[in-house]
Amino acid sequence: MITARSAELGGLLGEYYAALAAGAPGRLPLAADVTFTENGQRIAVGTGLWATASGAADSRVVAVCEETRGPGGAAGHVAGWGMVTEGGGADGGGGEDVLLGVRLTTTGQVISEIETLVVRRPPFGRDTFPPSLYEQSAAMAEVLEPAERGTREDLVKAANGYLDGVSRDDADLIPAADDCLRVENGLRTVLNPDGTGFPAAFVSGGGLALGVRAQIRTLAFRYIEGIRDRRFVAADTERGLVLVCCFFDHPGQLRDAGFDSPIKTPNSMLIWELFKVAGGLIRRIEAIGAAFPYGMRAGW
Amino acid sequence: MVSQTLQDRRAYLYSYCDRYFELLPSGGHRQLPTAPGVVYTENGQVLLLGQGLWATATGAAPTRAVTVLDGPRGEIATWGVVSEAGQDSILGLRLKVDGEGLISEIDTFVVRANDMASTFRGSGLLDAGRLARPAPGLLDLVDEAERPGLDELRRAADGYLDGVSGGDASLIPVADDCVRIENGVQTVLRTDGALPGREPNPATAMGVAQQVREGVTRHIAAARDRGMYLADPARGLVMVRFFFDHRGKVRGWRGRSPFTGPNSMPAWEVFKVRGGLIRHIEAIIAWYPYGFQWEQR
Repeated sequence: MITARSAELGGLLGEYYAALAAGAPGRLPLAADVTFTENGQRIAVGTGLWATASGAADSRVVAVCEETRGPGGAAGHVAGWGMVTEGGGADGGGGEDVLLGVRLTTTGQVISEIETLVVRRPPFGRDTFPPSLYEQSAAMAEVLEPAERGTREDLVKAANGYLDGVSRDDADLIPAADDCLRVENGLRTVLNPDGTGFPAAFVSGGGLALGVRAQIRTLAFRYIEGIRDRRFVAADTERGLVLVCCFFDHPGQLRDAGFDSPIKTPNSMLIWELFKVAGGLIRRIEAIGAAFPYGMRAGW
Repeated sequence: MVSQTLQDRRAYLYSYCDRYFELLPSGGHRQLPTAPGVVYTENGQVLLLGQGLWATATGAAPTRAVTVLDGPRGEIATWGVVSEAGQDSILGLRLKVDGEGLISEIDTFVVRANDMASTFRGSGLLDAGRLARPAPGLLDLVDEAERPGLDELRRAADGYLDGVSGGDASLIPVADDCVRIENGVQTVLRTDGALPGREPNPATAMGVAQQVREGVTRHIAAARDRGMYLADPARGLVMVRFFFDHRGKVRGWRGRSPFTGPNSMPAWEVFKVRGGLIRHIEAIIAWYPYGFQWEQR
């Protein structure tokens, strides 16, 4: 019997993927009035990816769990992402791979919230999803030495510093280590001088070789208008992890911008960004995201 | 306003759309005669006038594929080609003009051919040339003997949507030679047997009703949240806004589905009805997350 007790939060995420691959939401301890979104849309559990999924990877790339206590008792939050297959045959063959982020909230007894982000197209013009999305990220799962840990507030502050720095083009706001890695939809978008994993068309100008802060100083991300509706949905202070769900607004190639935007037409990208913070500095960032109509909201 | 003849009133409402397209490439939204509290949406999102396409458009075609004017409601809908960053997009526009001659509602639907790249494999087709002007006869007056009433227009549009989504061709009052143009691309009765740049597909040679009879549209689960229903009976035109829901290759699915994953496609669709039958269909369509709704909660 699957339960939604906070001690089993990590396992609950795995159970979600297994139930999804089997098309069996009834295996999960769902609240009668559970709220479910897929790519920002409130739809019925059982529809959307629930109806098409035909397989799931054995492990998730990342997972973050947080138990909170309030007047109503214990509640749990768990989120992570990994690969699933949809549209395959009953034998598990065929179909297309998609990247799935899942965020669950439990009351301690039942799952009351399910938020999902489904990325259906391989990133950066690739034909396939990068191999890293099929493996657990060991660096993110590592437990920190007590001396390196911060409070939830410290983690949120570091993440906000990053998001502010990126949206305002101010590297000084970003408390990132010089060797901080960032992996987006499975590819390293910093400190990647050879452009490993990127199609040739994306490797130009040398920007991928730079670090997180150096990119801001050198390239400028002026095409990002703002990073809004930030929700810090789960934090794990033992591992120094905090996950923020937010929208990057890209207004497109503005007529009067005076710079070339890599994003030509308006969109808003729903991004789930996981930060690993140790000793007050961001050490690693892993993110997934997809583009939606400009101005869209998350449904939460 | 009060003393205007019907014809003058038509020209008057038409001029609002012309003006909108004229002003767009220079970002001159402040020159639009808008009412206080005007509501502006782009692709279902409430934006400030000046945002979205108003900030990116660098061109707008002087003539357009479709215009439907609902005089009694003071509403007009149209679509035509615009350009952003060197790319063609389609702008669908619905304006409501109040009794003071001010625009109180602006709904826009911008179809970007390779939009939603992260959530949808493949890209859409868009033929800007075919959207530069109306199909022959589309905007002509219908002889009074063949002219549909308001109810008949609505029934024809709903019959089509019910038939296509329910897989029942008998619900669709359509002429055998009815042409359908989607994003400028003809998708029925093609003599070349394939959509531009795509694999040969015998279904493209069929007519509207035959496609439904042969199961070509079986992947459409619903045509939901229908609205607008702008009607111009004198010209036999009705325009409907709705979503096609595609569930994708769901478990146990047998047969073809153009989509592996689920999606919802917003569409604005215009039907030309004469003598009780749909004679021509024009639509603009995009690719959105499954379950998308125009009005966000």
